[in-house]
Amino acid sequence: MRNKRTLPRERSGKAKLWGGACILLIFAAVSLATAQIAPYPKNDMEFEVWLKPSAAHLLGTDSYGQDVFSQLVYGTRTSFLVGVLAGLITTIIGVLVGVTAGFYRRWVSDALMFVVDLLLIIPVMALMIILASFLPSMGLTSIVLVIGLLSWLYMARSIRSQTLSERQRGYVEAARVAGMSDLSIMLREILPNLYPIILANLVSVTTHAVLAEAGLSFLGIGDPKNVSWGTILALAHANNAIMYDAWWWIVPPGLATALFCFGFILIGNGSLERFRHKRGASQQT
Amino acid sequence: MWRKQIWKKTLAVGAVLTMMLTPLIACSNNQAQPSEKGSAGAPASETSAAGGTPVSYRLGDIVNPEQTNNFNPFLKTGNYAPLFDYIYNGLYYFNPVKGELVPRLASNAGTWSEDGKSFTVKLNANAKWHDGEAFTADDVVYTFQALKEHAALDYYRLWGDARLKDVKAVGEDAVTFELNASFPSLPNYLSTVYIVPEHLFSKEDPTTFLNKTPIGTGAFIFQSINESAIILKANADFFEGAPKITELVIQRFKDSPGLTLSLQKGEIQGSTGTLAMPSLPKLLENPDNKLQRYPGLGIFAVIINNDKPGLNDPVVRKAIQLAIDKNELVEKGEMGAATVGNPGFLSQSFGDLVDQSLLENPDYQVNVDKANELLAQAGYAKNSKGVYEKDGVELSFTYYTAANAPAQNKEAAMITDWLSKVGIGTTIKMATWPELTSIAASGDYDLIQNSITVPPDPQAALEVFHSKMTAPVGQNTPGLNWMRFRDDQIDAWLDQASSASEEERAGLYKQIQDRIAEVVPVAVLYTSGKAPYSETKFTGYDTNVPATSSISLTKVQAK
Amino acid sequence: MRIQPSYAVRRVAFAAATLLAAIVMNFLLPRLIAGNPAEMIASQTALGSPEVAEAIKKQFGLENDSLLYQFKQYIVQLVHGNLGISYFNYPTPVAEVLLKALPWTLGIVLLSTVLSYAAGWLIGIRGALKPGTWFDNAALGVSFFINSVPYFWIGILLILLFGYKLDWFPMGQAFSVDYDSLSAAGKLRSISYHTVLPIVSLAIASLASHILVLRNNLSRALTEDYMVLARAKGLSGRRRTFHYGVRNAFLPSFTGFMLSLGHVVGGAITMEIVFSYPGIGMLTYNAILNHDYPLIQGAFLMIAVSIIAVNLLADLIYPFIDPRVNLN
Repeated sequence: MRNKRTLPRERSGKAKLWGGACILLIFAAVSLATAQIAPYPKNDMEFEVWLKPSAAHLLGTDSYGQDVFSQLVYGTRTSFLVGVLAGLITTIIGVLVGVTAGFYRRWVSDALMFVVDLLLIIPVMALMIILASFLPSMGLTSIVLVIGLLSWLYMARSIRSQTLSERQRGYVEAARVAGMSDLSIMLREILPNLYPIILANLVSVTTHAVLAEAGLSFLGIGDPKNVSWGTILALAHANNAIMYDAWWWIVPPGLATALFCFGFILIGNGSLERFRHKRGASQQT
Repeated sequence: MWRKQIWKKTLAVGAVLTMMLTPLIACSNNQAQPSEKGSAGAPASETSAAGGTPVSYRLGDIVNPEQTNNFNPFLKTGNYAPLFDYIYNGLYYFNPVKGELVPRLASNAGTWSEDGKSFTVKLNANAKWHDGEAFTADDVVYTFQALKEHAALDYYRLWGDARLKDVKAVGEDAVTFELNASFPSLPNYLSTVYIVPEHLFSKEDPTTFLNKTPIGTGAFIFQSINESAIILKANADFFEGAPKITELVIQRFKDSPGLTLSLQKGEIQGSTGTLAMPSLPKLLENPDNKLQRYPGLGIFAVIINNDKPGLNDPVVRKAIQLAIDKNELVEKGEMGAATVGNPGFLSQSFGDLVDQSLLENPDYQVNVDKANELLAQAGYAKNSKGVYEKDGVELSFTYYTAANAPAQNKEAAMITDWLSKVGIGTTIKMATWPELTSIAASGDYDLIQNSITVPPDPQAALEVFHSKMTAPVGQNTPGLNWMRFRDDQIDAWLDQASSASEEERAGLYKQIQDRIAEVVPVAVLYTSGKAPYSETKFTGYDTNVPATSSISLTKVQAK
Repeated sequence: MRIQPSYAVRRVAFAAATLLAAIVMNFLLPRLIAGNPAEMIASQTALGSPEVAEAIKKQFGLENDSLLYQFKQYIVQLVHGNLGISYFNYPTPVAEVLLKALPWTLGIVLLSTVLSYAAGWLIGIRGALKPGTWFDNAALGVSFFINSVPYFWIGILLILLFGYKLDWFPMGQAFSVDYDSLSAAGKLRSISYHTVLPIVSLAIASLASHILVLRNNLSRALTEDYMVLARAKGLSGRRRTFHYGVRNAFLPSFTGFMLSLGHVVGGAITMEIVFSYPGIGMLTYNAILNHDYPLIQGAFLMIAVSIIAVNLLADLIYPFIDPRVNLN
């Protein structure tokens, strides 16, 4: 019974990992080689407006005479950078706070979690808009920071609860008896056991960051000079692409965002499945 | 076996959920059909002025919640100003299409005394307040006295030094405006003041009165307001005869794309000017949809804070002017439906008084090289960021543009991109339209991309640049000189022109415009007066005035 | 089952502490980021007159620059239920502005939350019980995908398709323009009709994660040791699944559900903007862009209170669902 179920699961985990990796690699390649891939320069408005997709313009042109495909390619870089950088910032803070709060009992844990619970009652989107409207500029750095610094709360909670349960296990006590310091127990003993949960969280915060960037750009909070999938969507919406049946302007940025996040989710899910499988296997033996 | 049972339950719950939604959808669909036709909403009991079936005309505009705070025409904030055109009247109406005055509560063009220091207006005897009270000279006197008593309300400084001395009733049906000095622009200024009923306003403080049920003399009577619309009904006793429509609904939108889609769908029949420009060609594919264009009094510009370090240098402002490609902006940003702005600021609305030569003058055409050259000559040097710098002042500025207006933001991106080519750095910030006005007035900005809507008078339009219209940064400007621009020469010319003969004025205005173009207190972009309207269900628009103005909508009738 | 008094007291104390901290934070937040709000008001001069500006300053206790003094004023007013006056809606009190917008948001977000959890749980349970079937795979795939889509995009596409192209539903607003002249039933119909697209978009946008959470928890619960034990004890499949599996898998989802309920008030900024819906989200968005501090503070406080209240409620209900909680 068990074998029957785990075998395809391992295979599906592998397939998911590979699929996700392929998707992300493609996006990474695109964002590294924007200039080579995009047929026209960024924000170049020299073409006729509202052109349908053709060989010259794979995804047509928009109301300003910009090549939508080129914009999409430039947008990839923004979304990729925001996703990865903001995701990393979030993860680092989330892990630090989560592990610390989970490892130390009593007041450290209570204080940290109180802060987390407190911050959780602020609507994050609203806070981001507030920060964005008061920051001197809303360039890429600000967006990354605003998203990265405000998204770690749930992650900290989940890491903490996992740390709590790891802490109960025998190996922590053993390490302590062996005279290891708190720091090295946290880093060498507990952290490796948290990898899957960290990975799962990393994936979800990265996805969240990409979507948050799109949302902020859509609300007109981002830097309008910056091309991102969110700004393309915002413009398509504002310029009534629908009246021209210009699906090539509305659908691709949404799909690109979805596909990109999908890639992350596949990797997260695939690796979780593999981890569970391995762990299950090792426990059985 | 048990699984099947679960599924039965699941299905049942699903069905219940679906049923929760279905009646909503089903009922609403029935509801939707009649409301499409526009007229069904009006109660059947209401009779049209013509005695036929009720006819509801729907106008769309962006009306933010904070613009429904008061209906006091004295106030510049907290209300939706275009509404007053339908409810109230001034003595005159300035017609931006023809650039002329149309008597409203005045019955004629008015008469000047020999010395030009007194102007007498005979009042419209047919006008009546919506509540049935008679309209008298006292209402006019009260309105202008209120401006005198509350300087904050006197937006255009009518009671300034060389202007109004007194406003007196002459019998029941005439009013005399006495002046300190000759002030030929007075009638134009009079068109900026809506006359309010003394019997309602005198009991209140006009600076704080919210006037929740406005009573005017206009063609339409205020009925109600909610989150979706402002509803006005036809004034059967209107002095020019009752409007042919029964009801005027101003449907509220949050942004121009939504409004434009509604226009395309035929849910609304017109707008007072708001339109998502990229949709225009598609909209006009329907031959019933029309776009009336006129130069207009709203001048879109990059408003420059002349008090800020760097921007107080005329060379820098000049570079900004030279960096901007106005033709490209109008063509790509406004789909060609705007008029390229004159660097001398005056809108084409003012006809012969406008210095047309400035438009063609090569000195004011886009020229990136020349801008760079000027800056370099003035001792600016590019720093490592590629931004010009002199004496520790870096030419980096914040650039405000309207939030939630992606088309404006796109234009902002184009402009700031051009600015970066002349070594001027910008960081774009967003604010709502009301806030843009507020920060412009307070001076807490470097650059703002917004429109300056000038009074319907060339003197007043140019007096935007008079030093008496400004205030130090941190204080609200008394007039539209948000730029904090001060120039003794321009002040002198303006003061001279305010009481000069028509011929002299024309000459002075040319000089002023040339100087404005040269010292660039503001980088003019374009003017955009437009009124989209649909003839699918309605006809009889008067296009000698804006097609969706009160005068035109009084004549409009259902097909 | 009874709630242990000590547990209840702890939860209430915690809620009170959070509320207090939230009030302090709420007071500090606009002041920290925005510099001096007094300056802001001075330049905004509500209705254009300096006297009014002075009056507003006084109203907010801003005539004195000391932060402590301002905080005292703030608390005193709060105790009297006074949230201040909105700058941009002067002289309408913040509470009134908020209360006008609240029902709209509550309506759409509450309904969509319930709807999406109900649907998400049903689909999730079915998927977990029949893993690997086409239904499970399809549900999983679609959920993953929807989870990756920017949710306002769903709103836009729905508006374009059902609002513009097909003309089945209105493209925005909370009710039709002739609302005031409608009968009570007509008003209700008009409102419901306008809520369909926003509710459906919100429900779709959040549905996916509910499916995933419940499915994962349930599949895990089904392979736990106690399930094996239950099987060994010879309990029927149905009893096993529901009494042991679903109940345990349901717990984290219940927490999630209560959390979502708490976030109902502040939850739908983007969606309200897409649908021009006159709720709290749109209000907050405009207040932020207009730098309308009293309104931002008021909105945040309302959100905080609702979240704290719902969390407390969840904490107090929890022991009835999961007796283990009481032990600690």
